Amino acid sequence: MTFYETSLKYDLLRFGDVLRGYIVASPKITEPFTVIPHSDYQIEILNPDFVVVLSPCCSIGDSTILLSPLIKLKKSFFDNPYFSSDMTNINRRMTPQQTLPPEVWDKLPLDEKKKREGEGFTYSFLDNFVFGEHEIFSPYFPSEKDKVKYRETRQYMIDFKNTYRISCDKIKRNGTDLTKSKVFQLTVPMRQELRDKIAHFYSRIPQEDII
Amino acid sequence: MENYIFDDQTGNTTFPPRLKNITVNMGAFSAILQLTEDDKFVGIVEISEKKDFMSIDQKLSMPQGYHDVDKFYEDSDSK
Repeated sequence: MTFYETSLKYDLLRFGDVLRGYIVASPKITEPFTVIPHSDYQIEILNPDFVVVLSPCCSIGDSTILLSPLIKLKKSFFDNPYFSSDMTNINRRMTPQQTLPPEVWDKLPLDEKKKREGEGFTYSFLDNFVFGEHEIFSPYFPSEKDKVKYRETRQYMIDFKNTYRISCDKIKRNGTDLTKSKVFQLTVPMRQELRDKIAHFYSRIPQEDII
Repeated sequence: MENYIFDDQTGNTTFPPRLKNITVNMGAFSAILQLTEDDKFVGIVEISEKKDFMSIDQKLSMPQGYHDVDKFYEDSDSK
């Protein structure tokens, strides 16, 4: 299924859009401050090639947007034939058996298999959403040590835990100033998949809250 | 996004039609249709099987847990 929209109308920012021209800023502290003001902190600045809009469509605007950088896939994803056949399978619900390479699943103790089967048809890698291959993405080898088994790819992913806010006066819901920074947008079905998975990521009920 | 073509012979400038793609779901299949800006049909770009085959109600009734398999996917040499 087509992952990216090819429409020429790129004057709107949408949830899931791939952009370029934005920095990533990560503040770091050694411990929470007990005295304010405090200056014992670091801010790491990175320049990722591409970032993804994680603000819901209707919340984009007021010069502020939530972004997450595109990062490389884990090498070990390629060990699972269900993933390597189509890495975007990671974005969808799957059976317990599909979550692991067959040889790993077969070696699981029976009680662990039963426990995992009890989870049913649901997501794995809740933090991640894979973006389909595109020629504009730089190719890379998932493993520098084994370039035969782990073939070159142009697929990247985002990590929902790696989301940050950036301010820019040109960020508007209906602005045209950002045409040059917008690389492409997801098709409607793919945007829905991203919405479904990030909703599941936030809607998990922690074990300690289950009555 | 400006997409224009210069006619070398006459110097005329012509503009190709601006097209857009829309996705139409039909049962188990999904079709991507190409339309002009004023919604005139141009062609079919792709027909594919829908991988997201569940309705909203079905999704809401799905398991709320997840498969915790991260420990099986720890990279030792991703560099």
